[in-house]
Amino acid sequence: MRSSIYQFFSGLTLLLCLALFQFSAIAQSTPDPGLPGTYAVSKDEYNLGDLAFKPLSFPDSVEVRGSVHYPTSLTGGPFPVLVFLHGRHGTIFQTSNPSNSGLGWPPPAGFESIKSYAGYDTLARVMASHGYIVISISANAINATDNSTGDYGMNARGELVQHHLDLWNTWNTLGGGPFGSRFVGKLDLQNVGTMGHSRGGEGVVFNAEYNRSLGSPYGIKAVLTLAPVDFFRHVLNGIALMNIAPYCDGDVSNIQGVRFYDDARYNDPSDTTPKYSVLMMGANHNFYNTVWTPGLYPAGTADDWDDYVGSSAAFCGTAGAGSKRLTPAKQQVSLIAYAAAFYRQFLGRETTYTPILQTEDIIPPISTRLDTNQVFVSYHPPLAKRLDLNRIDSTTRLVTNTLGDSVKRNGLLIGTICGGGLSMPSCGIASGTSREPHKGTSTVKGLAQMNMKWDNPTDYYQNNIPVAFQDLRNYKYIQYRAAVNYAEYLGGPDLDYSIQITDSFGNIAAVRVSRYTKAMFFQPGSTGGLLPKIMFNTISIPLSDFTGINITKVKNVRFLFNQSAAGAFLISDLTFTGATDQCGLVDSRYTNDTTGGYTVTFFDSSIIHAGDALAWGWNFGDPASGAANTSALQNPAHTFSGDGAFNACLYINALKTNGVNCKDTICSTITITNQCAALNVDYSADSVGVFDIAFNDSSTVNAGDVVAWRWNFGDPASGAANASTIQNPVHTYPAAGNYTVCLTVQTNTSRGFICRDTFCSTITVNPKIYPNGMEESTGSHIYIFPNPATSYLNIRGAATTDVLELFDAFGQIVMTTTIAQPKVQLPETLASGMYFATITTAAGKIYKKILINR
Amino acid sequence: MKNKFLVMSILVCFLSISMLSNAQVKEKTSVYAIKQNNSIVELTLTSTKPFIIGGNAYMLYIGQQRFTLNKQEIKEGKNYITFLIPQKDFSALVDGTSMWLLYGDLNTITNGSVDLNAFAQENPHTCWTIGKLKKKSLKK
Repeated sequence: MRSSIYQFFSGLTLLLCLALFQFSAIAQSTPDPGLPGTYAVSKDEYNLGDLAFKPLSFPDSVEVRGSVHYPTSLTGGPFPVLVFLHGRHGTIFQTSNPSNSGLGWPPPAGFESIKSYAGYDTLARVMASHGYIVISISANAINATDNSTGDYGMNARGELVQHHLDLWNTWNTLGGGPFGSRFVGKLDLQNVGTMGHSRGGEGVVFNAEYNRSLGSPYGIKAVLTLAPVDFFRHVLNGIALMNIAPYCDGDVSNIQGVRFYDDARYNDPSDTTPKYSVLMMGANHNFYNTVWTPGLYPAGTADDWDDYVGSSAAFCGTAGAGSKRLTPAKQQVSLIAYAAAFYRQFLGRETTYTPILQTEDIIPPISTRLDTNQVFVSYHPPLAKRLDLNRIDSTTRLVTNTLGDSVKRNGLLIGTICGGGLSMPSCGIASGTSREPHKGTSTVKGLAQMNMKWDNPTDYYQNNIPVAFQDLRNYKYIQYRAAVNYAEYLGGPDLDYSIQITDSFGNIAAVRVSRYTKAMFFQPGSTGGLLPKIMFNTISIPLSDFTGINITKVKNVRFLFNQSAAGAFLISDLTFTGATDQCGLVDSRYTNDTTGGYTVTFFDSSIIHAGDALAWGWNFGDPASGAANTSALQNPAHTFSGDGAFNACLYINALKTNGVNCKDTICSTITITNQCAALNVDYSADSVGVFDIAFNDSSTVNAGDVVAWRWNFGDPASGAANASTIQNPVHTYPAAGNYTVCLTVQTNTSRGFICRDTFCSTITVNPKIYPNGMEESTGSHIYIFPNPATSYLNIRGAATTDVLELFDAFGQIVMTTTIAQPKVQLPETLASGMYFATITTAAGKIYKKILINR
Repeated sequence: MKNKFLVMSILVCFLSISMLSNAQVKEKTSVYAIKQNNSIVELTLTSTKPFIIGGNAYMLYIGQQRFTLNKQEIKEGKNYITFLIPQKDFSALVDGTSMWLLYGDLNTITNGSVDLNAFAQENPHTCWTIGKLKKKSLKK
């Protein structure tokens, strides 16, 4: 008995050791991005009305409503900003009978709005605790009628996000609105991340494009699409992108959002941002939003898989055979961990979580409580950080790879390139896209894939490397995306094979893929039309594990099918990654201010290494402007030659202290529509006391525009009184002299366009000299101007019951009137000369000398 | 003891009948009305199972002709989806043409690319056979 117990524990210990060894190659000690941060968090809501905004692209007015989570103290900052946009869902429910829910807007009597925007509060709270300001907005009005518009409300969603950003821009600069001055200076609107769920996912992609079309007034640096639709196949480059795909999505069942990743990969060679896609096994569509989750909200909830497909479905049904459905709580924490890693890297510039995002560490963060076989990350680095061996992007890649060398196959039962759609043959796996989300059709682009099937340990697929590229010291990993082909491999254990590298000296090294990934699994489920489904996942293998190879002379890479006796799988994106080039950090960036109409100011915001010497070269894409089309300034202003879209590029040249010269370029479209033409700033000034000057704003603006004023009286010695934000202020100068007075007027147009202009002029202040024997009141707050006057007097500061009496130089009363209006007409019979005005107020009499000059 | 057994038996029978009846309820989607509204023909469908208010899109195929613009509503506990078909497109349709309702990605099927009968059989959770178009049902 003792012996058998001993044997049992020995066996157990051996198994544990084997398990530890198995994952020692992949386990990293990456900190958990999903844990709460150190800031205390507050939440507020704002609601400007159910029909407060009319998008240009939508037939109906929509609500302006949302919530904001933020660090309670708001000390420090400005803080990065996140904006969340929910997807299409029921919009209203009957208050007295919540089971009566549906679509409609605005809510009729007895009904109230379903608060879908509140469904991401858990993520918002965690991000706010890390020092982010997180805004989640309501889009119910769009959801109510978007199916009857040709774009399914996508442009309106983009406009709605932009409108909220415009509002927050105002609250961040001028204050006002529902929060007064609380958030002034607290939002870093050049460091913005967005997240959209379901139709909101495509909505935030449309928003990123819309923001760009307006000249990028907000710096959107990261876009997360959560179980999104991708109806219109817009491709987003130039912004870090993460897609989250739930395997058990019962609504967007073909998890089409992976196309945002697929389509962007090779679309723009100048794109310096990475793409990520996260596959969550067992996750459904709705549980990412607590308001859509049964038991967590009174109305309109659904378990999309169980309710739309069936609870008895294997794997994804909660009552199905081998169910692996995630609980709502697990889905929430999983979203938090991966979203937080993404935003904290691209907005917070924290590099701690890079191993999770770049598939170097495939162990899920502990906070998710997921296993290694429940979540898979795909990672597509920017071109500068990878060397593509075979993109597998056309059928010619069967024989010649991306580096221009030959491709060889041996003994494969299937060895074709398929699935890219258009003229490329289909992989022939499923009739729809729900079981094959990457697939293209004869009219729709898809993901080109290398389809392979083997049944012999000598079968292989090999890519040769030309001599010019054989030195791989600058790369850390060999990487590709892969998925089991369930139509050819009909079930069984995870597939395994070897990756074998040969150098020019004949040295060979091989590793088993199963040491590095759990991605070669037979996809679970057997639901008609929906499961199993093929989703590609990234597999990364450190080049350093290929021991005995001369890494400066790598001759070929071979997939050798000598582990599983037979199998079939699909691959794409075969590349070397982890480039450690010294220019890796250098990233050209700029923002611009289009509020000046045709004159746009550009601001360099490039990232360089400390100590780099930076030079700038601008090309504004406006050749009609002649020599002014280029500039070498860091922050130039350019006056565009007319309306239109201009491709403005910034070229930076960062010279490192060790002599390495790093270059980078960024271009973006600047759309010029001079909506600020109507704004013309002007003012007049009148002396109304000894050193009192009354300023009158005489600017012209479009009717209906919201206007704000900012004065600088050119009198810094007066401290805070040197500035004013009222339209027609009076300033008391300390002495006679010349003063440069500036008026800045900002208008918020009905389209949300912000126009700003400034007018400065020098005024001369002279003390007013009065005839002898006449005493004038001083220190009163009643002002009379113009002075000298011609036909009328403006009297500011008087009550409507105050009485004006006018005496001539002989003390005879010539006029008496109640000051019902500030403007008092003078009798035409009064001759030019000095007069004495007496204003009788509740507090007594005030005397002013007035010169009438006819 | 006997009473307990009786109660248990009744409960088991009730449960079995309930499960059986659930299993036997097959989802049925059909045409509810076809109405003329100015230059638009409104073809309304109803179903024994609520239409999804979600991310993907409902598409009506009449033969290989696809119609996507629609509005969803719930009236008196029944749910409806009304497709908006331009009058000239409706006039061009052949009476008796088969109809299908799809819930999915706008890129799933493009016109003329798929045998919809076979597709509906392979995709029972996202594609439903509606029957044939009866143009005489149009109420002006």
